[in-house]
Amino acid sequence: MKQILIDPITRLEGHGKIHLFVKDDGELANCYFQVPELRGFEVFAIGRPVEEMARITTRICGVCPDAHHLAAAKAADAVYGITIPSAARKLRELMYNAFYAGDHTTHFYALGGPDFVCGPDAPPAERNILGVVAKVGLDAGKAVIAQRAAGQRVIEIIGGKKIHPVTAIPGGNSKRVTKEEQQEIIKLGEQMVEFAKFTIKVLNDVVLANKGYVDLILSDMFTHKTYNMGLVDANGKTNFYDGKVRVTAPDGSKHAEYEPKDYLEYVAEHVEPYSYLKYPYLKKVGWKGLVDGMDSGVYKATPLSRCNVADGMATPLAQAEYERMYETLTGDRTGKTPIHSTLATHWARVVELVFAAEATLQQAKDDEITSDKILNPPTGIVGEGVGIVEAPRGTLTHHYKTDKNGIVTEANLIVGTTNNNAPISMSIKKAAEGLIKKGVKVTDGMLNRIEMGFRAYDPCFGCATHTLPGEMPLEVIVHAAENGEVIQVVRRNF
Amino acid sequence: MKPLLVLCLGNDILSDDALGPAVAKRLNGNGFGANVEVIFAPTAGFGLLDLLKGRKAVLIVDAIITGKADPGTVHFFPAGILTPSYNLINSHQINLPTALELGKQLGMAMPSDIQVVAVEAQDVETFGEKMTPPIEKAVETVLTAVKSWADSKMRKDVIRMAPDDKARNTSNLPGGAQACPACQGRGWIDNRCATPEASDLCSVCNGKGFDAGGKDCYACHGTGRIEVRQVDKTVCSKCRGAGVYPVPPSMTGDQFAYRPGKR
Repeated sequence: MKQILIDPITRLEGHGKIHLFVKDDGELANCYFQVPELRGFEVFAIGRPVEEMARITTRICGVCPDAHHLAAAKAADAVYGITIPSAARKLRELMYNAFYAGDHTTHFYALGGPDFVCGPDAPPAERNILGVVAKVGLDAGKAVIAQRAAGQRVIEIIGGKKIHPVTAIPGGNSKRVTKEEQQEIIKLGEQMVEFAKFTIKVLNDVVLANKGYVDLILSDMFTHKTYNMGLVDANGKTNFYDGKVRVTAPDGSKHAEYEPKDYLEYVAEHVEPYSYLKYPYLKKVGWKGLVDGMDSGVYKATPLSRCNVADGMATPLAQAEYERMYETLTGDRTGKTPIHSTLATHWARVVELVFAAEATLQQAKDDEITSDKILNPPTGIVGEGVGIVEAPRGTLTHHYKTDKNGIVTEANLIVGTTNNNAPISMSIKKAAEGLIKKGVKVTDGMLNRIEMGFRAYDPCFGCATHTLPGEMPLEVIVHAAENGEVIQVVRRNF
Repeated sequence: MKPLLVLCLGNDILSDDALGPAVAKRLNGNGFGANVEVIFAPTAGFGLLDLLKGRKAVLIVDAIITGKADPGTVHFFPAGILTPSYNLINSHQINLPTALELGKQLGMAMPSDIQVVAVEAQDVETFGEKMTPPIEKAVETVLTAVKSWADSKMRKDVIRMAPDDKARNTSNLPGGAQACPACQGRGWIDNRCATPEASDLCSVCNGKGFDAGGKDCYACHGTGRIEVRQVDKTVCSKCRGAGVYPVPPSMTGDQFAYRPGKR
């Protein structure tokens, strides 16, 4: 047996590793995905006031600070047993939607998009946002920058700071929004909606108009029939900030719908000896290894999963786009038949981008956001709280236990990407199986196909490492399995 | 916006990754003056575009793991040969070179002069507020490096004016004309330059008056001040030498504050 080691994240350099074990006849025997993980957050948290967590956890990851801020704040609300005022909730939700609009923009144009706009086999030097802008136009590039700036500005107004918001505190928010600021947010919201419409057009003209890409999206190579997870509101529609966690089975039937505080009844974590990463799975189904199907507890928590579990989107344009996606890919526009093609996650991300933009505008027009009643100060303490939000890259759980003074005694976090560790490994394996054949030399194009499998998840190991796919150094080392002898090395971004 | 930027990257609660924020804190404690801005940015990719836009020169301060040097080693290199560092790349973001290219592609003014001072780190994966000892120790070296970088940029970028070259008296000018804001009424600017207040500082000893050995500086004879040579003067592009702005129509060439060739 031969071992192929795709080594993009070697531990020392802060990048990851993909191990491929290849038999003598060239057939792929097994595949492992390994990333280093930041250590000690649970220990770091102990002994600190729970209200500090919302500000500290933004530092865990430079990619989704807003998600950590709000998950930690919600957990702190629960620790103090407070229901926050409706105005504060609206402010938080508005800020979060604006954040989503910017974050999904980055992924679609800079990370996921290049594979489709420039083509999966385009040379790496072209297959990036520069190539996208060259193809779609300079105005598109400027619009992307403006869209991100708009999101940042809304976060600054509501969250108090651009990069790391600070205003969500136990019981509500610490900063009011003035009428003038509300007007500014409305203008930014209008700009976001226009940009969302433009993005739908780009998706149509550049991606969906090319039958080859639609076939690639639907190809078996990128398909896994797993469970799906996502937050839904009281009407069963996608919500990023709050709601119940809904889990649906591979056939689309409902597996569970639970309150965030009950997450431990439904989710457990499996540890593989070769990785620091944990593999969360559905407790009631059980861990059967890195396989899909009704009997395997592996689930996905991605934009596509959120679409799959939800009954639809709460805003009109997004709902129309949602129906069109399901109509095109499953033939059932209700969305009751789940989509299992990993690459369709890019489309789902556009649906969510449209929703985030529309919701930002809608919520900005609600005059209640300028209310003074944004804080219900704590009066007692429960001592334990769970906060769940949908991070762009998966369901994010913060769980804290505290003493009677609100000092953290125990912390547990399940970060967005971690949910997807198992499906990411499976996607890499499946892509590799399709590509690694006897006598075929591993090329950069193959590396990219393998990467595409996990890029769709928008993985952020920023919670786990700073250095990540997308632009990460990539190294493939082919070993003979019996003696570990290196047969071939392919490198990129070194 | 200030023309020079010291951009400190990192994460203040991630052991050695706190180098950038620690350096930023120390630098912001002792201000650099009008030309240098120090920013701690826990960000990457697109987020850097706004910070870089319009700068003349940028120095990036960061922790790095090359695996090829002892922890605490200070690396100094131009951004062009950047080794992917923990903070300069990121899966959800574009990397620094791509961000720069994108900025140029979109017609933004991107700095052409970017350098990196990075310290070989030991641990950037454990949450903690303390750096490991060798990295902690390297902070002083980094501070010195940042200061000498800023000095070297300032020398090129500072307007220097001879102390006796007085600004024009503007109390009785016709038509409400004021001293030209670009040249402060002198009618010329130093062609190596930018800030009037540091204008006559000796560039060799940076105004100290003595050299590294403690002897009088050979260039300014220990005064710390220098005169601007005629060859360094350029007619102010705003007032065309008049020294006032707007230039009154009645003003003739020999009333101009600066007349090349005449003193």
